[in-house]
Amino acid sequence: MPKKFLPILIIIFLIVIGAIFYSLFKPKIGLNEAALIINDGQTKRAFAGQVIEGMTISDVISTSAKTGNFDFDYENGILKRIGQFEQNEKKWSVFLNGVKIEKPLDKVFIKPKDKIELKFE
Amino acid sequence: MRKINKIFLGLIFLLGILVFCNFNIQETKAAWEEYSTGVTSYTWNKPVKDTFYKPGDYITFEGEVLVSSCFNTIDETGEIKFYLGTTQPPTRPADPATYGTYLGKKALRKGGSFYVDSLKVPKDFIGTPEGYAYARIYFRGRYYRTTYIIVASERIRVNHPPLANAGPDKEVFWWKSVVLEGSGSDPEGDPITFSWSCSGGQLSNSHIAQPTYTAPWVIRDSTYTCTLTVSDDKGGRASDSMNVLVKNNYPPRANAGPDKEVFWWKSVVLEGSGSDPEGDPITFSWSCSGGQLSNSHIAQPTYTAPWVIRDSTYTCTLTVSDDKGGRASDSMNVLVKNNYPPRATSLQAKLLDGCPACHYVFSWTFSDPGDSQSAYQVQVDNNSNFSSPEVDSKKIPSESTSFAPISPLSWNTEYYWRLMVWDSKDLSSSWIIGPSFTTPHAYPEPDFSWQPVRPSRGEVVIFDSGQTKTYGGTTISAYLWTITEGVGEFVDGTNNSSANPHLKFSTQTNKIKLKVTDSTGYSCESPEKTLTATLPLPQWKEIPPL
Repeated sequence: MPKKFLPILIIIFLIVIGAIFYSLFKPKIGLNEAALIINDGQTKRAFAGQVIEGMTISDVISTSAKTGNFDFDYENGILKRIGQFEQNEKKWSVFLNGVKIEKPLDKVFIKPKDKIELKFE
Repeated sequence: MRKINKIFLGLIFLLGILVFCNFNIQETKAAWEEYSTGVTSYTWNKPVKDTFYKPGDYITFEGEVLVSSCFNTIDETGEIKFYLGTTQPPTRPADPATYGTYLGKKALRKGGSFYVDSLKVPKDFIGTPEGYAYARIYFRGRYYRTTYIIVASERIRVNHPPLANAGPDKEVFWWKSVVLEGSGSDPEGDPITFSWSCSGGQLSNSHIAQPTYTAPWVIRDSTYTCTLTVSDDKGGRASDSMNVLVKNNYPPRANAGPDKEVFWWKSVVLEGSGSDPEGDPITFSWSCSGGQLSNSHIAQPTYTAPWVIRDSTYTCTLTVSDDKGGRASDSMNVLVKNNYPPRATSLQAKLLDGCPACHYVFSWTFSDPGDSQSAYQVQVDNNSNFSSPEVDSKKIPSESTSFAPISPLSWNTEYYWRLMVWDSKDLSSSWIIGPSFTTPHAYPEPDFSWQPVRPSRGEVVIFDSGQTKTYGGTTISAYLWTITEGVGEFVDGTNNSSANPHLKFSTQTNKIKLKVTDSTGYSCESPEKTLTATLPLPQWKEIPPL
């Protein structure tokens, strides 16, 4: 094998190794679980847990708040504040599987494998 | 010697005859005055007794003076002098000039006839205060060297005519007036009268010095002459003239507008108008046989009808004038209809709601037989003079007999209120004062919270009514909790009248309200609050960000 192919082989090897590590340590969501991502523009936090029947986005936020030890304000189905990030010029937007939610959060039910994202933007 | 005595006595006799004859001039005409001795005949065409002469008039003397002695008509030569005097001189004055004004003289020769026709009454001659003077002829002849003899004396009257001044010329527009500035006087102070005459136009009074002249209508500018004649009471008169230039002017047009109908005490705008064909500035003047005008000097004033017992018609006349005296008028009628103003009775102010603010409702009973309410106005003030009403509804077109102001009143304050109502003809009542009232102290303001803020279903929720406010030194005497939506159960020995009840909710969305009653019995209910009770949620875990 010509020496000139050696660097290419090394690069391919590293990529394969990286992919293996990523698959091993990638956060996993169980079959009956959903995930919540909170992105305040500076940091990201993620939560995951079991989905029960009738569970809404507001339930997800409530139970995640207990786990994550943050508080929030929630009025008339709208998320007003999480921690120190209170809506003012920026607002909290809620996305369910990448689709922005306009309905009150206590009216939006979730199902397993759903991905809920809260963005302060 | 005897012969000498005879001659001497003869001379004495002759001398006596001569003296007698020369000092006894015959009086030959009875009409002559007593001093006219020696004049055998004498005539003059003037004066006639008491005839008025004015200065400058000529007195013509014509006649014959015949001086005679006892022997014959003597060859008496001499002169006669003519005088005017105001005093009675002696019969034989040494100098007639002392007693009169010299007019002229004439030499008298034998035969004695004379004729004088150019003796003029001097202009500065003034008669007696009564206007009398004496025209006299004096004679002085050869035998009367040192004295004059009054030959004839007749009383005449001398009168100076008055002075007349018609004043300056004038200019005036037709139909316009101007005062003529005439004047007159009499040198002797005699009473004078005035008499004006004009070739056109009218005088307010032709017998005063300064009458008002009203110009006639003219097609083009025209000049009229006015003459003032001043007369005294002795027949003297004088005249003077002045000119009045009357300028042409076309009158303006007036239109009083259409007739109007209005109820008494109501107002209506009169639709008058006017114009001038020459574009002259015009002014307006309204007059009405009844009612009042907001301004009688504008084209379209507001007419306010008077009170009438029955329907009555009044006439309003608009007069339009231009600045040259032209004017035109037009009239219209205003029918004022009878109508009695409405009234309101049973005025009441009632607390409508004390939660959360002090809201009152004001009510009344409209009263106007055969008519209905069309509008009302309510004013509420804490001053009895309503100087700055806290509530003023303004005029509200409505048949409603109650009014609830949107803005609340102040608690614990004395208020006064008044009402005005309008009938269907828009006739208003006067202000009707309602009974004053005092608002109560503020009602309680219930408020509450709970813990935990986001409970799970079945979790005990503790309510807290401690944020409730009371006023006027009161306390809360009763609580009443109501779950208007959702299902909740009072636990831990509490119930719906507890101050701080404990509840468990089995539904996700729950609405709760609280009613409190203070110690004076005032009650208020809080707004509903929504409590969301979540399911017993599974515990989630935090994971690395996805």
